[in-house]
Amino acid sequence: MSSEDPLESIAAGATKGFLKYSAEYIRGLVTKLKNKELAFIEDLETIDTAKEQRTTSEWEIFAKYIENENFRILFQMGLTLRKLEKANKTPQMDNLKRKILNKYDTKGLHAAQAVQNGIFSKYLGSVLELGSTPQKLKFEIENLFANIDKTVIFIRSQDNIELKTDEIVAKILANSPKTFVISSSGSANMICDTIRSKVLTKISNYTCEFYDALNKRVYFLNRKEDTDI
Amino acid sequence: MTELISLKTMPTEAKILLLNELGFGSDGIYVLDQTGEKHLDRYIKEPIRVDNMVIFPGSTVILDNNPLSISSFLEEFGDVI
Repeated sequence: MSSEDPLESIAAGATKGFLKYSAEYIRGLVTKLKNKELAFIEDLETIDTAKEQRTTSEWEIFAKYIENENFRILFQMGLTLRKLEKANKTPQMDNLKRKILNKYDTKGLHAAQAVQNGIFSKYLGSVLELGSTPQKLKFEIENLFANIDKTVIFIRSQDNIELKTDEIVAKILANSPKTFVISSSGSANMICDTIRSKVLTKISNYTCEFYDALNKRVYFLNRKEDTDI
Repeated sequence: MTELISLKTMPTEAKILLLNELGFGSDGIYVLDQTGEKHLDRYIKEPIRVDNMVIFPGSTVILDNNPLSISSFLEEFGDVI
């Protein structure tokens, strides 16, 4: 067989490739690792993405006020989910959602999704409009994350309109939140509109603000006495 | 400044040699600890595959290569890399 045989070439290449990694060479890498000169990562894109989220304006504002480590990580996961969604990297996005769910449960995933969908930024805007102090702003951000399932609901296309409406009304009446958020995306947007209309007929002291971006619906139901300040 | 080395092009045998030098092992698929048990990612508590690992310097932290583990590491240790 000549040396042009593709299989032979691959085998030779693999051997040559492995030979580069002699025991001595590996020991050299380990020494550099222990001296903090090196780090190893399978895919550099993962760390680039993680570091990139920590340079965004949204992160800088959040990090300035929030010290809770879990909230900080969930915030970064929300920004990462948003980036993966924009890049149409659905398998990576689903894989990350699974990991967030396993570690932080549905409440944690919902907090990350609130950041992913831009709810956090808009919520922050509405709090700032009320002339909040830095202490009040910190409280409101922590309150949103800590009570995410009492103040934010994500509508899915398979949701039953009547049941979801009743669930939202029950949550609003039970907790009387200053702001309640109803959000959806894509195929769930139509039923989200219907649910929002039905909810507003059943509660009296809330006004509604609407945001529509990137095929997402976000409705902010704001308690009247707070918006009247 | 810590240099980041991609493991993508490193042959599996070389990765296992690297793990051995660090006091870890491998069954060819997963990273094993000193007792031969699957080494778990400290943040997500899942076994780490040799073909999807991250090795951070200093006291040698081996993690699964995913955004949650890496962001958790950056939160715990700061922007050291």
